[in-house]
Amino acid sequence: MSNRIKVFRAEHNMTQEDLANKCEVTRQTIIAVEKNKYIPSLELAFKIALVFKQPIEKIFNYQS
Amino acid sequence: MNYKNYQIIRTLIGLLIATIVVTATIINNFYLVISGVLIGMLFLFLAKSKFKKIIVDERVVSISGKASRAAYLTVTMFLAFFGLFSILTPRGHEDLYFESLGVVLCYISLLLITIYSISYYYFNKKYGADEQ
Repeated sequence: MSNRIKVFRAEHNMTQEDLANKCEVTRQTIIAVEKNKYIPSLELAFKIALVFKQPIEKIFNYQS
Repeated sequence: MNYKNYQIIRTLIGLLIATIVVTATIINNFYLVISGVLIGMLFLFLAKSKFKKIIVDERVVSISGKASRAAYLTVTMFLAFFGLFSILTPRGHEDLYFESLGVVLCYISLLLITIYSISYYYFNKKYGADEQ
């Protein structure tokens, strides 16, 4: 599982704290997700996609 | 108050309670222990009410679950093995108290397993097992 949260954050000029507040999670969770150390729940993945106004598959990429 | 400040305040209150309890235990003052814990709880409640939006997110819940499981496994295994050791060891046959201690520890480990099984059954039902 990989993601492009960092890229989208940069595009939206958003800090990890901002994204965390918008998704109602802690900054540590955003850091862990960004570094692929924690796979977010479907709900959090959708929240992140909603913040960036992108389809979920553009942000998260699953390789089996 | 943001989350970071809340965490700092919570840690400080925790340290304060620990200090009061340790001091009170050293000087053998039971009332000081009780009042220290109660005052700490009151301060924690006040800090919590000031900080409305406490974030307990999914990662924290996931970590807590794993930590709880590790703690449960460690404690249960330790109690069970130490209990068995106390019963089966030659000292257990000679020393009645040592054997009794072993029996008690074995029962505690059984109690832990029972509580775990009941909680597992409850949460399994709550989160949709057996639903069509």
